[in-house]
Amino acid sequence: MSVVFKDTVKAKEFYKAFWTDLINELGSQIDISLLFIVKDPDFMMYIDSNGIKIDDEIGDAKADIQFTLSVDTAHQFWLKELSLPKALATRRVRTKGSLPKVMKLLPLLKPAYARYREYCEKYNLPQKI
Amino acid sequence: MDYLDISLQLSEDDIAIKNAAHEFAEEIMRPAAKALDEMSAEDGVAKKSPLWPFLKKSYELGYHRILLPEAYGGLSLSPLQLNLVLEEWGWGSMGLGVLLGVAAFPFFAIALTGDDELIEKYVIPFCECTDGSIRGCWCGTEPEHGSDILYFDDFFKNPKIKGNVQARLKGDSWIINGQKSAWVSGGTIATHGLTFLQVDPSKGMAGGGVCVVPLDKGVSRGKPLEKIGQRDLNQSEVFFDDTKIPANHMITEPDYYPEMVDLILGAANAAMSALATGVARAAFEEALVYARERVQGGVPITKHTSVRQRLFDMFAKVEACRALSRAVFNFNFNVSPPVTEYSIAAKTRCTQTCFEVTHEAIQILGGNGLAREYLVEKIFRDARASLVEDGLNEMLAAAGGLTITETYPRKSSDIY
Ligand SMILES: Cc1cc2nc3c(=O)[nH]c(=O)nc-3n(C[C@H](O)[C@H](O)[C@H](O)COP(=O)(O)OP(=O)(O)OC[C@H]3O[C@@H](n4cnc5c(N)ncnc54)[C@H](O)[C@@H]3O)c2cc1C
Repeated sequence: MSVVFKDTVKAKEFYKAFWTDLINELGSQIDISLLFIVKDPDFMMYIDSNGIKIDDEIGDAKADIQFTLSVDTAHQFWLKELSLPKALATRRVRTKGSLPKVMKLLPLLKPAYARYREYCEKYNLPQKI
Repeated sequence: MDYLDISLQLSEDDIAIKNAAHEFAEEIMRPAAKALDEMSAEDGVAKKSPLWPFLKKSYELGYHRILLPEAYGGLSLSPLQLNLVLEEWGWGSMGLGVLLGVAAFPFFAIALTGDDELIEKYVIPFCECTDGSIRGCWCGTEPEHGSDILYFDDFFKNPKIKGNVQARLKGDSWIINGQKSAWVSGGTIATHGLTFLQVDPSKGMAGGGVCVVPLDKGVSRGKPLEKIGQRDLNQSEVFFDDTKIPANHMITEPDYYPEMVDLILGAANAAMSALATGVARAAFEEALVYARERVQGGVPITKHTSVRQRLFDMFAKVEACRALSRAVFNFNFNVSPPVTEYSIAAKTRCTQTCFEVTHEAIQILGGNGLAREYLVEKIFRDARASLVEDGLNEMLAAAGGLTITETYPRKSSDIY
């Protein structure tokens, strides 16, 4: 059971808003597509430079990198409480997609950490778990 | 010699990268490797050694950056491209291939952390380096702990087993003391070490940490190691004497050290399988070329059915190595974390096969196979070392065996 999100609707809304802003900021820098398979609460989110698709909207779109993780793990990652090597080594984040592509993504995410905290404040989410 | 690639998936880019790596292996690696093999280990790192122009050329061509992300100045090669390059490096020289691989090791590990400060300080200068002056190494093996650093039995958590290198936190710094064994590849010449050490002795070998250590202050080295094979690969002990590193240089702490060792092994063993494939291919080619010319019984020995059978067996073994190595690269560099038992399978199979093929190459060359003048003499010795390198094959099998007895068959939904 997630300690951050009590219901799926709120989790989807939160991450959709967060990623929409991030994509607008990154523009053409984000030239790869991502699929998040989120657990507890369960949902799927597909992201590319055109925007965000959730669950059924995704259809058979293929992503360059697929991440499987729980929503609490995502939260800890964005709060920088969990490093990517630790998340990967302990299988809390699992990826499918070439390692160079995963590593290419990391520097692009830099501006997102500070923004994530702002979103947490806006949505009244805990900034530590 | 070029070979028919039976993969129809190679793009023009892939082929260009493979051809360039082959040219590098033939024109730069092989001559340097031959010269270094014939020198004493001490002369191999002396001022006039061919090692330095080799490193300079390798860095100029960007081969030290193959594992690193584009955003930091790396080449971001795809898993297949990495495999193609490493096979060519193995064909050129296993020892120098390993040296180039470990040179990037600490910087690759830092890049994975995404830590801005460490990336600015270490990864970017490494990628920008074109003279070979920034060189990493992997400080793992210790005088009293070789196979002990692999997790394949309960001993791993035995607090009575003390590491030879220990780190303790003092204020904002880690203080490191102890000794790494003479097997540290690039140990004499490295400027930075990705260092495995004991942080929490109460957890035994499992209480380890992984840190990045600039090897300047508080560090000394042993004499370059003399050995039977991969003589072109410099190796030596590394001693830490109250060596101080900032706290953020400890990139893995005991809470996930065993898992991190597994992840690193998954990448390193896969790389070893590609290098070994290249060595096996080199041996097969040398044997084939020789057999086409050597006349016995009044005909080239390739006219003798038994020689054809033996050459075919070598050919088939090389193809099998490549198929396994590429399949494992394709999987394990496309999922994170890697499924390490598959990398172990590739490393142990490919190095064992490579040893068999180089052994058979000597037999095909007859007496000449034992002579310094012929390449197979060197690559046979290099292949022998690979059965020990990056984990003894039987101990790797013990580690892989522990995993498969507990997890086979794995489900893809548990992997990605
Ligand atoms: C060419 C080369 C390059 C290398 N590069 C590096 C490097 O860059 N960095 C680095 O840190 N190290 C490096 N190594 C070291 C290498 O990883 C070790 O040599 C290897 O892990 C084996 O350790 P060991 O030599 O101490 O042998 P040991 O572990 O002492 O093994 C000796 C014998 O004991 C057996 N044995 C050991 N433990 C057990 C057990 N628990 N149960 C049953 N049998 C056991 C083994 O099968 C073996 O036959 C390199 C080695 C070589 C040859």
